Amino acid sequence: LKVLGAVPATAWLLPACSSSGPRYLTDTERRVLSACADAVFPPDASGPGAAELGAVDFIDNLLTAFEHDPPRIIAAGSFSDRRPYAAADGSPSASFPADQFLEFLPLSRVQRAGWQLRLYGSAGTPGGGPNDALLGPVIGLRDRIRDGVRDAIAAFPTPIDATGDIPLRAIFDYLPDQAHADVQLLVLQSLFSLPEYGGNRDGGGWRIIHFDGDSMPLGYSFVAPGTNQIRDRPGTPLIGPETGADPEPMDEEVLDLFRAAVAVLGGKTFY
Amino acid sequence: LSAKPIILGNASLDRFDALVIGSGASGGAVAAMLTRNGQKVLVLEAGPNYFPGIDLPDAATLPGAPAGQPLPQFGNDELRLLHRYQIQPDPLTEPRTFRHSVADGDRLRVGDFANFAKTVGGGATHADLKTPRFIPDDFRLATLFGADATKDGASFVDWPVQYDEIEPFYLHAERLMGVQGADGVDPFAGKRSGPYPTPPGAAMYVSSKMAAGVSQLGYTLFACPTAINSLPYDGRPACNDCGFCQGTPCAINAKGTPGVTTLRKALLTGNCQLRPETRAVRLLVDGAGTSITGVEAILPDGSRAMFAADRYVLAANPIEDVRLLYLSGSGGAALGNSSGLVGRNLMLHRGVNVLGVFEDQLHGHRGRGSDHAFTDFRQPANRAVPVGGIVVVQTVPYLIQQAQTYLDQFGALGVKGALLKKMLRQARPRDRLINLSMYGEDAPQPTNTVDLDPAIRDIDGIPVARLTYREHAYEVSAQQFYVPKMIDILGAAGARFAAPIAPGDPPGSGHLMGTLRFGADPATSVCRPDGRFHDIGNLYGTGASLFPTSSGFNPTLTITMLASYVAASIVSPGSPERALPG
Repeated sequence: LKVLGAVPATAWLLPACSSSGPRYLTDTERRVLSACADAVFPPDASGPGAAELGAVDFIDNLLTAFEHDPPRIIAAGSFSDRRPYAAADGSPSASFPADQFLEFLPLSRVQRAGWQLRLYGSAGTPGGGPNDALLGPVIGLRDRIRDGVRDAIAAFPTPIDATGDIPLRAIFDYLPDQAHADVQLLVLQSLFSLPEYGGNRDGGGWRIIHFDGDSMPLGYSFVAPGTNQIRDRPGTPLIGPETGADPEPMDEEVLDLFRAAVAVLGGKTFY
Repeated sequence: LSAKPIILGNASLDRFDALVIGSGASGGAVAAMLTRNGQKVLVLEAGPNYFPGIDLPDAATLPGAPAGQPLPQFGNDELRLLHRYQIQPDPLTEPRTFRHSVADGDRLRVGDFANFAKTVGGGATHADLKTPRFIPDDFRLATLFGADATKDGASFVDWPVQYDEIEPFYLHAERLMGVQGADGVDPFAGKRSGPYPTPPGAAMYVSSKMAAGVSQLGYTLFACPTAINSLPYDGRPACNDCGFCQGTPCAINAKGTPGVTTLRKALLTGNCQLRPETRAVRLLVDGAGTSITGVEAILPDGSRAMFAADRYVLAANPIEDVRLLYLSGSGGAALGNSSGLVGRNLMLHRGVNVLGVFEDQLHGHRGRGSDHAFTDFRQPANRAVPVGGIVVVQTVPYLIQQAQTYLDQFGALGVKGALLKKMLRQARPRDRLINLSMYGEDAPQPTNTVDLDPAIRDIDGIPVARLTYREHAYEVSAQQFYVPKMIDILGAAGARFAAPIAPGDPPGSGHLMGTLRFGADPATSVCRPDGRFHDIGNLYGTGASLFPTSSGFNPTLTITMLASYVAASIVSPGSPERALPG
């Protein structure tokens, strides 16, 4: 994080959503999903992959959300404790809010019904889904993940116990289509959502892509005391250009992707 | 699971002058206007309340709340807001269906179409609240277009109220919402009778980048009016440009959403009662079918109750308003539909987006995400060129959404795994992408409709809304004409690449308009010029549902303005301006 100096030492301790909570996934399923997570976002010289950043804990937290009251679906509050309040002169103060995101909000009746259906499916929901007769039953995410992993293991050409962690990443493409899409999206969510949800461990997902992280309650601008002038802060410009060097400019491989996409979309390459 | 009803505001009220269905831009404005004029108002809101303390004069006792303000249960949290349905209806429990025309059969797809936030404050809670006024010509397009007003099935009509007549209500709405802006910077704006409440906020770096490109092609970029406090205003703090503004609610109440402006003002009068998680499912009518006698609603625990008032105001949105009218009719007919126009002329702003790729560090995650615009493409009186809409400069700040987009859009080019990681590190969307978004005006078409799906139900077993929508040559030709110009603007601003993004089907602008158009003639409109239904003496439409045409501007200010106008017409029939604050 670019504002590391503003982060208190305890900011990344996340007891409420750590991997010590309820588990749905078996050790075998966790290993397969870890391999899939690293297939989506692999470790390399730039930093850790999705597995090390907590993707499987994130997924398990969602699949076991209803084992908490309130269900751990929607985090509460406005702020984490990663950024301070602004001082009277607009600069970062030494005062940090409590991490409100460690709490979760109660779900309304309709929200609860939706998430129960999404996670447990029609078979696990009293009365099933509202349109099962016409559209077929909803298959819950818990079953989709479990069955998908089972099917992938069965289809994978080598026994997974005899497969190393890196070769096992190829099992991602043996997931059935729906489970493949589910896992891919969940891994992306785990990488870049608030660490309180269980992924993005220690903000590592943000750090890898050079993102500042959540900015509240400090934000990026302030009204200069005694004036009506709105200003930004040194080091995190809002109004003017970035003052630091580009951490990672686009190389030719990435530029080639845009060239190809623009040609398909009917756009223009200007230089 | 709570079994008791949730009652906010004055819980002792048991008789109401008006019952308002919906608490968003329309419902909040109606409640504010009626209650400040002494009327007792009940507001039913289908969604939850995420503003604890919304009804407390000084909510400072709530830990973490901004001084004296409700505590917004919203943060810099993309997951809950854009992926976990905190405020959006969940398509598993509250789906909609979609088709292009009756030729598609009952439906093409079931899912999440033109859905709108269902929460206290409605869609104005998570909108980025750009709040330009419509221009005077927008209110008289049929006059300007002549024979073209009905070309190829279009149904352009003039509004029954004109800009000069309702301008004081625009100013009122701007003051209610705390709109930031500057007089005289938009060369095409209508005249104003007062200044903006606050000046423009900090201009993002992307805006200065784009200013050069826009001016090089002869257009005028200006700070877009936006209902976000640039300075402390009305007891709410100034925006600190946290970056979570497009499609996400505000964590500090700097955004002028109904929960901290209109609705809160209504609740603090003592004349208002708000019931969240209380969904109106049926209007009851008298024997003659000319008067509403009550509303049946589903309470937070799933049980049902009846509510009554002297008047009833539909303020959900143009889709849910119509759904309720169909649910309340008999024999498959909608209430109040002697014109045959209930649910017709649905408009969604089928706009166009053009993305520019830059090699700079644009840091588009710092700021409001969208703070400048130009309106040179919106010239309805110029019949020599297609009629476009306002073009806003937007950044692409969200991480999960964009990672998924990179996979979807570049997957065919081999982007996955290590290459995806590299793209997210190097082609950081917040740093590299600028989106020019034109809110092209939809031609109103009677064949674009809302009605009930014959078979698909929501979680309570109630028929869901079905959208039938197909684009018109009017908006398609405008897009084809202006997209090359938008590409060149991005190039002039320094983009290395620029390309258009295909509109969604149906469009995903989040702008819902039409379906209860208002006018003087009961044969050609659903509601009267004062918002009252022609057919039903104590039922009113408001806001975007009344729009006969959709203009080419963000609609929220006009929704708030028109809702205030309708409510003022209830308070002071024939002289609504008398109901405005002195």
